[in-house]
Amino acid sequence: MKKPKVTIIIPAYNSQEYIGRCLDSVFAQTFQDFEVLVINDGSTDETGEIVKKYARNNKQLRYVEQENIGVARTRNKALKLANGEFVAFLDNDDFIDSDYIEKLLPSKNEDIVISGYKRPDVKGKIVREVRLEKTNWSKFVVPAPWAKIYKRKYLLDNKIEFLDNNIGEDVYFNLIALLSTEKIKILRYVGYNWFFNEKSVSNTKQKRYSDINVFDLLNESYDELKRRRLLDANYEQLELFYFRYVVWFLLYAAKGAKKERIDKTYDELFGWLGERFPDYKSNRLLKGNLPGEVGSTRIIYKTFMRFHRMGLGKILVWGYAKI
Amino acid sequence: MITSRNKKVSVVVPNYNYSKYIGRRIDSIMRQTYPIYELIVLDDCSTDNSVDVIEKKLVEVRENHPEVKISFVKNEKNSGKAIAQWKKGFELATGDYVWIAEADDLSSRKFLEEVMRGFDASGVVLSYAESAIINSWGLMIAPNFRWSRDKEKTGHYKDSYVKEGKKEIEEILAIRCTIPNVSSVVFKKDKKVLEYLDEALRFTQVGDWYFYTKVLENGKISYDRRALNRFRVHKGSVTNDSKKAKRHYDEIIEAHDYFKKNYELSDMALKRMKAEEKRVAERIRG
Repeated sequence: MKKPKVTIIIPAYNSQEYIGRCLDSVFAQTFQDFEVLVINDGSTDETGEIVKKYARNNKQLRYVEQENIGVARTRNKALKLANGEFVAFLDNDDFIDSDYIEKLLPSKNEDIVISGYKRPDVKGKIVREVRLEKTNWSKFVVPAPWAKIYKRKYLLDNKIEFLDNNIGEDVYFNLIALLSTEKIKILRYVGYNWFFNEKSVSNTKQKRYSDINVFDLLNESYDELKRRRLLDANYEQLELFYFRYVVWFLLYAAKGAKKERIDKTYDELFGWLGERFPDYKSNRLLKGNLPGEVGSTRIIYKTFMRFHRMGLGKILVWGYAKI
Repeated sequence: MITSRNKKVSVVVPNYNYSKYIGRRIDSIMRQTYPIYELIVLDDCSTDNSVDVIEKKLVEVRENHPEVKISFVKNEKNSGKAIAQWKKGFELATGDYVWIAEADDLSSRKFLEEVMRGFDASGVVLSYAESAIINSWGLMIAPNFRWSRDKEKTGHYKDSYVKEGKKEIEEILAIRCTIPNVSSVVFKKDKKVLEYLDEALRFTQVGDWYFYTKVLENGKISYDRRALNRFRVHKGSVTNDSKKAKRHYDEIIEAHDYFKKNYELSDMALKRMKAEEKRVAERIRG
């Protein structure tokens, strides 16, 4: 049997409400030479039944069931099961515009093609749109595996995998993927819909600093980049990337956190950064205009650094925790 | 200003039980924007796994920097003296400049480039930069060390400068050891250096101070006010050992006597020395 051009990988977990919309958007693609690989990662709702129904009517869909092993290991498994020359990741609550695969397919043997995303809410209204600029920094702006297409052989040959961790499994994957090749194309195109589900955001238990193994992610990714000799070659970009990630994480898990806990996490994270990047406070890229960074985030990171340099960064996190 | 980048710098890393830090220390040396001529790692008979860590690290350094001369010298017995290790470093160094980069400190990538600029002025024998203080896990706890060295708030460190070593001694170095961390310094190599280090060995607490003084009696000092060095201060490193504290006080008095005998110090300087002695004495009494 002829191998498909693209494998669309969808890890599915308890998504009975949205998996249908997700699959509909896949089958409505203008480019049709693909297979869809849905791995049901131990859902406890009707997700499996819904996908199986789609599979009965559609030869392009492959359905795999397993006990819950988490999204990182599920995606790694999918990479091995995929037949396509290229792989595109899609999350089960999200959906893609009909020309998405057509637009993302590499034209000149690229290993990775990257696009922007938009955020529709429950009513379909777009509440945010991130369109990438064509700069050196743009590839780091969205460290998710979706809104991108990867050459499967490139990932396999370079043993690029997701990290089995409860945060940043995709950050680890992308840092290595994005720095191991020069053959990357950035598109101004925006066709990935990252569903903004207010209900699920408010229902999801607030993540707390203490529950998240952020240092595992930081250490594993740093050490692996070093081992692969990607660190020194991309030092200033990574210095900025890790600063940006530390700030993002501090704000991400701040909600409701106690002041003491914020202070401790803050000091540990910036200690981690200073130990490995002694010059991070004067990062050249951050001093400049940060071309490629998206408008509002550019202001957030630049402002945070200004406060941090004055020793006032914690105040920003305290404030944010109370919102 | 364009600096010639062809000066040969030997980097000496004395280590004792800093296996936790030495890997990143060597990273921050090898990431300097100024070329490293030679890397000499000294281990003073560590009791932790330093030797393994260093050997592994040096394999990596050799692979990534084949142009750098690398050596690793292990003491069979613990010398227990930092100055003895410095001396060994100077003896082994084949470059024209020596940077003693202690195993637990870190530096900005631009440290060497900027500090070597200091030697562009003729007659400079010691060039150093300001230090920021970091704690045991790398957090910066003070952006500089000026407050502690210029207790009289004379504004001595307001700007970067190059001046005669003797003038520096008369103005400030005679009062206290104003170079807080050898990792912040690059020395021009000179035959007399080994002699000075031998003499400095008689001190247990102020050998570094004596050494900087003797070096500076032969030339100029260059100071860069940017905090390009990261001086790690460990929790509990200020000991409560009263015998040691008394010894420290005695050695300060001895050093002050040396300065009084050999320099025509101003009344102001003498007054400040006296105040410094009083401060140290009070600290001993707690």
